[in-house]
Amino acid sequence: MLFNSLHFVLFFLIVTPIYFWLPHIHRWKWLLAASCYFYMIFLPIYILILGFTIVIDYYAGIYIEKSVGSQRKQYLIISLIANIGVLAIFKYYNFLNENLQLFLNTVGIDIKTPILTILLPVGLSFHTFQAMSYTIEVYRGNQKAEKNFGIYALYVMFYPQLVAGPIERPQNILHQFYKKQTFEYQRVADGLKQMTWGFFKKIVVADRVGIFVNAVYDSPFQYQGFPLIVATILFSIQIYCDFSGYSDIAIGAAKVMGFDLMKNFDRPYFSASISEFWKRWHISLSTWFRDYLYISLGGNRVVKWRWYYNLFITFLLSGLWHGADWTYVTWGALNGVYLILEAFTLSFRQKFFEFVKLKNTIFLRVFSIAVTYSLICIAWIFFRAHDFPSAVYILQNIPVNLKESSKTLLSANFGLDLYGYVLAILSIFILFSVEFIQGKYSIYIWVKNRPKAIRYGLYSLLILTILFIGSFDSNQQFIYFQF
Amino acid sequence: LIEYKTFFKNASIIGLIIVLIVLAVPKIFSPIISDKNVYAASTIDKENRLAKLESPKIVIVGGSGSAFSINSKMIEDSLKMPVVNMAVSYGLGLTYMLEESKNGIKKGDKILLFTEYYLPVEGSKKLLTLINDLNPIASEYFKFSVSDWIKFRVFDFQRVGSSLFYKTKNTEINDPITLRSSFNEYGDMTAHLNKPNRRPLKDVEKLHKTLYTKELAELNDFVKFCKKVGVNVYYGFPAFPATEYDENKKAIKYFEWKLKKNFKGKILNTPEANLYPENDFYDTIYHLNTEGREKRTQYLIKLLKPIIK
Repeated sequence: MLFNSLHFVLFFLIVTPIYFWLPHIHRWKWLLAASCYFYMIFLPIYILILGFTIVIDYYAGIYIEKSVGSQRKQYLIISLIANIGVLAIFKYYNFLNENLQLFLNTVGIDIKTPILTILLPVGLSFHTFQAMSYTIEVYRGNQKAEKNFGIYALYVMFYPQLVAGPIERPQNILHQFYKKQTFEYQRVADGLKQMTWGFFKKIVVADRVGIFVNAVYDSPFQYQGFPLIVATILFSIQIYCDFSGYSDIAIGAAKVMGFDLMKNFDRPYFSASISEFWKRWHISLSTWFRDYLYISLGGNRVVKWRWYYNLFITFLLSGLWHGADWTYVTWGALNGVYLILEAFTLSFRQKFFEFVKLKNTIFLRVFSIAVTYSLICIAWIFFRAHDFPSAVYILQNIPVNLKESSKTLLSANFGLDLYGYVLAILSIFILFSVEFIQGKYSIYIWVKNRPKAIRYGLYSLLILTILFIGSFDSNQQFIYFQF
Repeated sequence: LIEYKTFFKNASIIGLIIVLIVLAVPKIFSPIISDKNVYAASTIDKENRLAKLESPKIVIVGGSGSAFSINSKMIEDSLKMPVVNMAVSYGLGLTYMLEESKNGIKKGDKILLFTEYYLPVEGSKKLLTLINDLNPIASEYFKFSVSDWIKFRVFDFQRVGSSLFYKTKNTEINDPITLRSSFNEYGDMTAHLNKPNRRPLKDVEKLHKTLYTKELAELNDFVKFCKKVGVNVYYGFPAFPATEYDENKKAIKYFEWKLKKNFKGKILNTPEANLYPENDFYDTIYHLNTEGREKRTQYLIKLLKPIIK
């Protein structure tokens, strides 16, 4: 079920009041049933895959807790193999198969291995990682094994974050299923406000700019210069609004029912370095890789070359997590290289900026934000392009024919009419103005302190704006669903 | 419970205000948003011709590819049988196109189905809202759910914005290919004829294999209906740029295979017989220009001659 559908609105309006109406002891059952329904709308049969890993991880958790010595590790490995195995079959099999065949053909061996023609279960990487974090935390002794099978299943399947995160940790969410939630006016209102802002990001901004992005990225070889630049910039905005919009709706929906999910985005395009960007972008995944991979590899408490290696491997795998394609691997690797270069040149840059008296100036901050944003956009090209040759073509042709291509920008049809362009620019302006102000003051608190009439007027205005300028006809899914 | 009641009351007030505004604004601005000359209104003219023509007649059904790429007068003159081109846009959806044609066909008519490779069953809600407003009987041609009704009201609300914007700027959406008056009396789009090609060519993207289950079921229901009335249905593949064929061959051949296996009407030709040089296309991979349209029409006449006899 898509958050940006009438189906979800109806689902939410039924599930939430019944949740509050039910006695506390039955609420988790209701939420679990609702979550199953939510997931089965995509493709019902795939709930069996989810069920398989849930059963394995539930028992693995219990046995890890009960066991001592090397047996604990064995149960953890069984759980990890089950989860990674599902990922390997459904997400990576064809990719590995294709590349293995290519390699064998190159060395003169002609073996045909079968290709799996199956759809990737929606949100597989998200709930697999959430499930793995449970058994790892039980193994590390940070979390007690969950004895109630239904509650554990709900931990994996909780509908707001089931298909696109935030990827939760068991310490944060499991205990909340036991807490008796009451209907709190302010919390419900805050949750709804966050959901509305998420809808604004997705329907008003992401889906409209996505029309232009699709027009260019679906046939990049027709363009040079400006259309490629504009499409790449707009994609950076689209993916941010699409994904952070989803997170806002998920966090807001959970908040309405009394659950606190972790923050997933923190105005990432205002970051002044790549490392800062990764602390503010898809926080739940970045911290997952940090906690369970990067630190396990030794983090930065090792010799320099090994630290760089740890950074690179972490980001390479983060790229692979996103998709079984060389474009995603390159995207991850590129971010890894950025971070290594950032760490490698840090002291030199600090000395240089001190020497030219720019250290701690607003100019340097703005310049750093611009450089960071440009580097992130270059990496996004690989993330969005259909294949590697398209990405390379786009990179090579961005600086080509700039003068002529600027005319194409105005004359060619990119799926938006003049009104569409005006709405896109207006909505981007609103988005970044709000984010800029949010960096200095909390708009939530400002609104909260206004008189009732003004508050209601503002809420109505935001909803009416979504209805008035939202892109409802594009039927665009959330980008991160495919992962 | 008190908090619950207060919340419910306040949320209802906000909800009611929003609903009233969404419903009232299009009514207030209705003289501004009703534009009788947009291309969607051409369905009225096409339906009138369909109803007026004597049978047997040729009825062309399809997306904009057929509207741009066929000279119906030439077919009518050559085959001595009246022709009406019902094609407007694939955005109307198969259901709309087929239901609309059902309304005017009689025994002996020939239906030529020329859809694009992308053939959605349900149309664009935005386009259907527009048509619903302009064409009084349009709502009979598509399934109308509660959620559609809600979407229609929202699209009406949105149209106030775009109409006001273009009125304030004192410009129409003046691309002639978006106007009702750009279709001739046969139902063919003519505004693009003898105009320079528009580049880059639009809709160039890799076609994907889909199951076509709903689409074929819809087509076969239509064939069944036509058989009962005594009307023959023929399917023809769309004009497509030869330069894009290799890239899309797998998906196109798969579609052809599915059609051959399941379609209950007659298939007229092959995808390969409908490939044209890139230079014969006007603005998208389905819209032929003057030369391309001429070539295609002559080809269709040859193809149809044995059937009409």
